[in-house]
Amino acid sequence: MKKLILFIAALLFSTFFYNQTIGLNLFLFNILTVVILFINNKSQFKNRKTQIYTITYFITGLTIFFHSSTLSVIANLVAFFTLIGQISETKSSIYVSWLNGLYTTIAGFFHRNFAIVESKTNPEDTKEKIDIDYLHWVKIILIPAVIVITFIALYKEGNPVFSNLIEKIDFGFINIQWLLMAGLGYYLFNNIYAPIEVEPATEIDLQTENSLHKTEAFSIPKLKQENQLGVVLISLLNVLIVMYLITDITFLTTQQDISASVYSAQVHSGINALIASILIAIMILLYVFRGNLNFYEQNTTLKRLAFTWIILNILLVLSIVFKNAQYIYNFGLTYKRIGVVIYLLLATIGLVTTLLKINSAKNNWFLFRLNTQAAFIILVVSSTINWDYHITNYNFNYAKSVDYNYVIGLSNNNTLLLNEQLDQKDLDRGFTYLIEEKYYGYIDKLKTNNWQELQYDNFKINTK
Amino acid sequence: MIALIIFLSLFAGVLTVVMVRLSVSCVFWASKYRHDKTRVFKLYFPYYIISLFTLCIAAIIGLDQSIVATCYFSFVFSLSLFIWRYELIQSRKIQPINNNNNVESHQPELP
Repeated sequence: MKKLILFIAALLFSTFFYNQTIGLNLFLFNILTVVILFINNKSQFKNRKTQIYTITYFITGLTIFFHSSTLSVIANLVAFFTLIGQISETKSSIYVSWLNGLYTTIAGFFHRNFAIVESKTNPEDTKEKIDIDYLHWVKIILIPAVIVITFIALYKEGNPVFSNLIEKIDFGFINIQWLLMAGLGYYLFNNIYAPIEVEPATEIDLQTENSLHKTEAFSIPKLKQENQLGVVLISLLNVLIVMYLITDITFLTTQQDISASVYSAQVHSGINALIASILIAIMILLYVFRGNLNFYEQNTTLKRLAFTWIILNILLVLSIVFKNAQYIYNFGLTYKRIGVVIYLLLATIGLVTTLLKINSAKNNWFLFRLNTQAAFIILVVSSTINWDYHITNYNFNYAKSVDYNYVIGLSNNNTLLLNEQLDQKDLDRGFTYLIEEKYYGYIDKLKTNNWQELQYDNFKINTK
Repeated sequence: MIALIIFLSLFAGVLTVVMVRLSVSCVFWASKYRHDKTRVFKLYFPYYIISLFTLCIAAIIGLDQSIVATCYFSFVFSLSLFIWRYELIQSRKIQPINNNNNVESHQPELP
């Protein structure tokens, strides 16, 4: 029964993906994957976290149907690994789930096969499982096939009617590549139907706690010295960051109109330096609060200074957000500028989780677990946004200047909007031509889409 | 011409088999538990196969997903799986023999 399900799934896999571009097929594949996982792992699907990851997986699949982009495909792939890893071990951290998911997808069948071979060493099991004699099967199929083909060739020569009959048989409908694709699908589903885990990594992860504990090396004189060093260092860094913030605010409030290139250079170099400074800030705090200093009774001042520094770093992030926003307003929205916003969001989460870590005496694993989880959520959320559409919409309607070449060069997700803008804006002839070329090319592509490649835009153009 | 193609294919095939066999052997040689092959499998096989898979996919994408590249790297991937399988089966064949030896050495008076 299990093999029959996998066989049907493999045929469906090939039907969905052979010679097709990405569209509705990926969402259908998501449904198929979840059905196969559910049939074989019903108990794991009662877990709330598994249910959440399943919904996340579906959301990323639907996102591809609404706007196919590289980011949404990556998010779907990561959600796939997360779900499979989650089913293999429901209590593991997300990064271990990724590892387990990847391993299951690549070599699940192989690993399980060895587990079966191991169990064969038990005398009870050997009675139940009978070895398949592959050589015998090869003989049964290959020898008669060769002999029958030889005789067909001989009879063809002897009888013209028989020869005509044989020549009429057409195996053209069998497509080797389609079958290979189905084989790949069978391999994939055979790997994932019962997820496995990378044992050492999963065991270590399950044994690793989030909390810090006082070690035997706890020594008050040493900790006093460490505390003093920390207080001096973080006080100085606090003073420095306050001075920087004052000068930064002064710069932002007093700046006059400056040329685009100078402004661009200032923002880029400034942002790169600040990105590095925030990362170093987190590393310094992790170093200072790495061990027994968390349990030293007189560390209150140090903790307060650390919290102040974190809050000041968040203010620094806000100043960068302000600069970036100004830059976007003046020169338009681009992927790099969105990337800066996402980085800043991640940095803020990093700073807040560092604050939580120090406050509740947690270890670095706690920080790593929470931040990878946050990164996954941000990846999924950002994949649901049609960035090309929003970049185009913002640049046309709100930005002070528009780089038309950049906007036209984006993916087809903004094509329908660009065409709408043609009616509303008075554009240069060259750009009008480029937009029309892109629009008609896209419409042609949509019209030639098979049912597997269907996108939301197909329904949009049909309703027009 | 055909002979040359066959010769080159065979040469490339043999070279690939040697390379993959060596890479698997290196994993066993580098491990502390080289005699306990099942343990080495559990500890290192996942990382080995994930790395190999990543390399193969990267190479296929790098070579514009050509049919030849896809076939060749699929062969490399399958070959590595077969070599690991062979290593483990060999270890299981050796284990019972060792166990029998142990029994005999502890029971010298047995007929």
